[in-house]
Amino acid sequence: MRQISPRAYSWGASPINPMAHTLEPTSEETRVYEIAILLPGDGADKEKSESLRNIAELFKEKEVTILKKDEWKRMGLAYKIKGQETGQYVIFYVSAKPEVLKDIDQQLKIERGVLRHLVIKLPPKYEVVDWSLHFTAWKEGLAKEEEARGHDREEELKKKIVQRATRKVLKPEKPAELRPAEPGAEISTEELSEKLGELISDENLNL
Amino acid sequence: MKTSTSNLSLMPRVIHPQTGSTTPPGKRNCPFTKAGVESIDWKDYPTLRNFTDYFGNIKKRYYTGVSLRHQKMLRKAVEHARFMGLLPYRK
Repeated sequence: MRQISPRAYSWGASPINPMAHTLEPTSEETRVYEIAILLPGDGADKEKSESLRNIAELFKEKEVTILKKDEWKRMGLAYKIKGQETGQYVIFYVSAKPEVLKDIDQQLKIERGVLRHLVIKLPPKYEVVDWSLHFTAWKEGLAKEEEARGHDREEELKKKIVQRATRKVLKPEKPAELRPAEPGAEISTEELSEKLGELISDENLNL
Repeated sequence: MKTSTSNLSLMPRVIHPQTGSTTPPGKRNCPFTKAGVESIDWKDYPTLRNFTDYFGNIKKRYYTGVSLRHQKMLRKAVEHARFMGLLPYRK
């Protein structure tokens, strides 16, 4: 097996997700930021595309270049947001001037189709990862693990049943072997034979 | 178990707290430091989930063994995840 050092194989990167790579700003004046947007889950595709178009326009206006766009699948939320129980995350990795971010934040707040938004500065040497892929792979792995666990449990149960059956077969043999070894039993048989002899030799009996 | 370890190699990297370890609490090693983690992402639900309890609170550093540096990162990540509806504030 190939050994991977912790530095080269850093946060988020995995054998399933080899697409992890770092991002570079387009010019000296700009920095790399992450803009995450939560869209309502049960909204129509038209509304979704409209809000995405609006965001794209906003980025164009503010001279923001999109380095990477990561659109997740529709998924359940941890709590209700504006009456919505499901949502869809769209994550933009952009390079932008720091002054522009305040306006973008304000515009996203006003935007109707957006439930929540988050603008954060990325840490140095941040590796972009396909998180939706990561999530699905994790879920599949969990399911497989549980299956394996269930399989193990079944095997253990089968072993136990076999052991119990063998014990039941062995049990009746043991006491039969033990009885003749007892010293009291031998004496009793001798006495018995004497008594029987006496009984048989009794003259009162009409045989 | 042999079967579970073979599946782990296929699974994406998920970090688990040291809550069940035999070493006493307060003296546990940091799982993030061991893995060489430089930053914790709010989008990494599988990992963040392990560091919150049933009620949605962040688990104590005393029990999980996380270093102070990583606990600060973790707190920020969990707060972002809660705001975006990925993790609950209170269950």
